[in-house]
Amino acid sequence: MNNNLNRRSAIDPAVADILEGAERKKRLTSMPKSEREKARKDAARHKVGLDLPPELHETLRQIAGKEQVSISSLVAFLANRGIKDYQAGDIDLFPYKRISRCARFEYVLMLDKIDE
Amino acid sequence: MKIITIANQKGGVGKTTSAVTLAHGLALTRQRTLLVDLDPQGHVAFALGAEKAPGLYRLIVEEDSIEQVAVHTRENLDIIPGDKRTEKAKRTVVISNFPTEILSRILQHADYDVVILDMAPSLDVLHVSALMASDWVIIPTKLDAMAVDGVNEVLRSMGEVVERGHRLGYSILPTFFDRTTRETIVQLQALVETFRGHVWPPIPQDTHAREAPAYGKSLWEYCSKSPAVMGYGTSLVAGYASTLKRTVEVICE
Repeated sequence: MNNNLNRRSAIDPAVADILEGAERKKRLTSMPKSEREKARKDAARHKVGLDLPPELHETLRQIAGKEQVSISSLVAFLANRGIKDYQAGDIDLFPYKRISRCARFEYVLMLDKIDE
Repeated sequence: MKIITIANQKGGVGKTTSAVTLAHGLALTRQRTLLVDLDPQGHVAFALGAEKAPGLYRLIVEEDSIEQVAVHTRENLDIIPGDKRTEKAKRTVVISNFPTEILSRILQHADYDVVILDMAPSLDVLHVSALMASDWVIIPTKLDAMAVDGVNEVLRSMGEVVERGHRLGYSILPTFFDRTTRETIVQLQALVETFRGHVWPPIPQDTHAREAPAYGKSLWEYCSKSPAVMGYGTSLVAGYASTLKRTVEVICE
């Protein structure tokens, strides 16, 4: 092949997605039945990574321990409750907003203002 | 004006379906598009519900103008139809003074935003002439070893054209993609390992793509929600809709 034809090294994200799906399927079919079921459940879980202040993380850990639930379960519950309050208009974010230095977002929410 | 060639010397890989679908897709996005049939089978006209005609023959041998020969088939979409006389046109090209420049010369004053050249499954002088006229080449390929070998052949021809100082980009369009077949995935992986970002998302195998020409309709008209257009299931990652998006990016480059 001619070297003058420009080389595009980055794989098209959609193509990468298809190949990854095929690879996942291949891994699944080569597993024993019991592991396959667990892997399917794991894949169905929706995992996200969030930036939380360390002290908030510690508080969540303590409450989760006290209530004998997982931190994920506790966060899901509290977030759900908070979202309902927000949607009902019981929480107004405006007083907690400060201009963000990050170019991607307009504001950042000040957690320490919650106690004021 | 951008000129895009759809080429693979292997037959039955979806060249004409891709050419017709992309040309009408571009026309629907308001790009004034000319689709030129360089295949003596004349299937471009057939696929769009028009009559086969010696359009290319008239352009090359009788030296008629594009305006005289072009057939208006849809809003923003004209075609230069082909028929078996395209074969005679090839002979004229061979004995002309500058055979590899004949299409560049004919198309240089074409009043369109995009010209799509649908090549015959062969590597002949018309093929080289089309590559010389083109800005971009889309190489449809089935995901089997023989069709993938056809990709290498087209790339060799492109290499020769590039050596003459012509700038040419390309993309590989996997067609007849069957996600349940192991060989399909193996071949797609091999293509991606070799050609990396040149590989576009594949077109799923879809009966609608075979049915649409029988009604003289493009896929956008016949079944715009079909897997061939929209991809599989909920993951709208493949299909001609995504190919069209990437083609528009090429045109705007």
